[in-house]
Amino acid sequence: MTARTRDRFAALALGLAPALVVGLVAAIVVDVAWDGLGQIDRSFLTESPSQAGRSGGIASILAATGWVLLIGVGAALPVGLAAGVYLAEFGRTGLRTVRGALDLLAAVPSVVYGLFGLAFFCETLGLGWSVLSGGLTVAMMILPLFVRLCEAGLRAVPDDYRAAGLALGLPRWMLLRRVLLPQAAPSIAAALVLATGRVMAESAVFLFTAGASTRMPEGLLDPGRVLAVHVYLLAVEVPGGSARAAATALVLLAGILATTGAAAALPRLFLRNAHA
Amino acid sequence: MRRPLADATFAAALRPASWIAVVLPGLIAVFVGVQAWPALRATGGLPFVMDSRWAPPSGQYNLLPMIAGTLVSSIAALILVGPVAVAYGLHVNLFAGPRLAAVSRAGVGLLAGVPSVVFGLVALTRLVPLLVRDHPPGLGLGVTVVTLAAMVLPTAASAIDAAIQQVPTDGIRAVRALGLGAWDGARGVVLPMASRGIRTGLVLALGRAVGETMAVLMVAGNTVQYPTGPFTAFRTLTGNVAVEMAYAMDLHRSALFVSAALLFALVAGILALEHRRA
Amino acid sequence: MSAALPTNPTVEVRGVTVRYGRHVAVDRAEFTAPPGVITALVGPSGSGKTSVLHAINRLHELDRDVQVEGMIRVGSDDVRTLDDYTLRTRVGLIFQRPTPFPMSIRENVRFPLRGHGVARSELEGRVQAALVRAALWDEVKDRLDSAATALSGGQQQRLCLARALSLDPQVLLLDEPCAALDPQSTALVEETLRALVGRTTLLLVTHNLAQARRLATHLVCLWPAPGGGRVADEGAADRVFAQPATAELCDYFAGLTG
Repeated sequence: MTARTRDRFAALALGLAPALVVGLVAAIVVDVAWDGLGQIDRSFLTESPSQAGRSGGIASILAATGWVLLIGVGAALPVGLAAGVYLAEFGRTGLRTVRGALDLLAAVPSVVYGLFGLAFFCETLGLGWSVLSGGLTVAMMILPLFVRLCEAGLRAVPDDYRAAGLALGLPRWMLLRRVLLPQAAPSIAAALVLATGRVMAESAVFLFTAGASTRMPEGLLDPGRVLAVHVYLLAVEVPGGSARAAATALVLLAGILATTGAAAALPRLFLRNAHA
Repeated sequence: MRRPLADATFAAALRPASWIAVVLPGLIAVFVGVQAWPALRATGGLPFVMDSRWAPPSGQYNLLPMIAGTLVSSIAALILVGPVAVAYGLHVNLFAGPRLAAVSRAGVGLLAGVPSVVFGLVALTRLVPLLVRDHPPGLGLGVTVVTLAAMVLPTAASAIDAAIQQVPTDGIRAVRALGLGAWDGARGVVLPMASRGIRTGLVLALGRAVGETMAVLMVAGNTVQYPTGPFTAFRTLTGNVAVEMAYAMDLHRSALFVSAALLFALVAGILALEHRRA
Repeated sequence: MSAALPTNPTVEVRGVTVRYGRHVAVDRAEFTAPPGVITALVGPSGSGKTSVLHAINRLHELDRDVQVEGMIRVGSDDVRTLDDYTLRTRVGLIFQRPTPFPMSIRENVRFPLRGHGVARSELEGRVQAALVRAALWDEVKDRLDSAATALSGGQQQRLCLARALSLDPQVLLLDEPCAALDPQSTALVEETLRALVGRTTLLLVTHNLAQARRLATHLVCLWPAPGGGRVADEGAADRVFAQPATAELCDYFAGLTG
């Protein structure tokens, strides 16, 4: 067998792998859309579930998801940004400890986060099953991602800017505010968007911390059922719920797809407006 | 004109954020530990592997069936994923043209974004009914392994893709300059040189598989027994916690925290093993 | 692969332009490398020497966005009409930096032989023959199974030579093979190249004019220009060194530029 023939075989055989990946994505999307698309209409998005979710819509589910997103990203952003700035611009001692701690946080399985959230936020802090507990727990989960992306975004800004700032005698915080952070903004925005996608995909955590109530959450301490949890419960605990589960899954997928797409497109968008 | 005081103050203001990050893992460890302590103290630890079965209300805490369930399903999934992920990495870097490569990578990115529950839903509504006729109820090890494999494939594939990209192109050019092909280059140069990165990718995938909860919960069958065949219903450590937490009390609850701690030790151990070898 | 037919082809480059995207590296290069002798391709950085060399065994096809126009002939064959895999067994290429494969010394030389279907019974003999031709045999014969990456730079480059020679190429292209080597290794490589004269047509790109003087029978001079590198002079090495066609070449040879 010549080298050329070997290559032909290899290209075909190895090519089955990416074909499988693309096929899986297509199969999942088609599947979920096939079962669920028909269920989605205006009322689906504006009404809350009734009959354990067999009818009605997902309005309260969407609201609960929105709440935990806001709380989760809102809590993680300042801490993550501050830590990212510190690691990129100031860190000299203790860097390895911080990074090690972040790696550890990233390795914790979601059930363990769920249990921790239950024990700490819900019980010890007395927040109970609430969107607040859920949001704060998930904030811990996305923190490593945030810190890593913010730090990377800042490190990517060329040192020329810092040198110029020092030469002008600017204090660090002003340099950051006026020059470095705007330059790193696309990466930070992408980090925000990616973190959103990750929060939406989580379910075990919220099952333990935010509860499974289908009532519309109206305050921080109200429980709520997020999209992923709704999909699970409809599929597993509600006979005849698989069509609604698929519809909810479709909405969930659409949301996550939007975040993946946005995260990819954001850097280009920023670059276009950057040097005006 | 430098204002070191302003800088130092600013740094001091930022530092607590890093401290929060450092404190958090400790916080998790403490709280999980505190909740797990009662069961550990009451049993002394050994019953978790020595009792006759898992039945906490009766004071039986044997976790081995669940540990076996986690390990068997994850390792089996890894065996399925490994060759596919390596084939993907080789194809995308050595055989595919730029457009094909972009499509493949986008595919992996999208698959990575699909949530656990959606994998579980599709497996439940499509795979399980295929098996129900001949092997009721269709849930069990086989479906779980296939689902897990699909879920961790993107993790392994993108890590291996990155590892192969890092191999300098000199070696491949030298192979081609001898009239040999891309496959020869893959065998002789790329795979040996990327082997460490490939191993890391596979370990990451294993870690993810061990930590998976929802999809596994939906298709594993929720029975406390050793997974002996492709149609055996079983439970993983994660599933065990998720299913029983809702109604567990006192020592039972504490025992579940013990299993969560064990799970985390398992994942941390797998990842640490790889760190040390690198 | 005929080990017994050194046919010493002439290498003809006719009107060859090499483009990387919009950048033109070589503009309508035209020269001939006579059969069985060493032709040196010289010129300062940016004159397109490497680009022309890589076009001869179509190695540029491994990269995206490279276009080659014009005709290149090896013997009576247009290189574009040949199967590219086969072409590269007839036309070998040695790179500037040594590229040992991550395997033992023996495996390095066996790799191309096995890849082209040489019978197992013949392997040991051909491995030894190749290492002898590359002036490496004596140094490594007792440790053929040790890692090739543990060899010194000069030894690694001679290993690359052995690999290329194992296939008995009719043409050998060398892209500044001694640039990263110490003087002793350089001398050994040059000795190997001289031994190939008469059996192989050699094209040697070099920055080292003294080396070109030592080795080359025929000389091609490339010079950078805004529209791409061009051939500034070509001919018998003695003549070109003594009477270069342009004033810039004069200065270059005198060591004042490049």
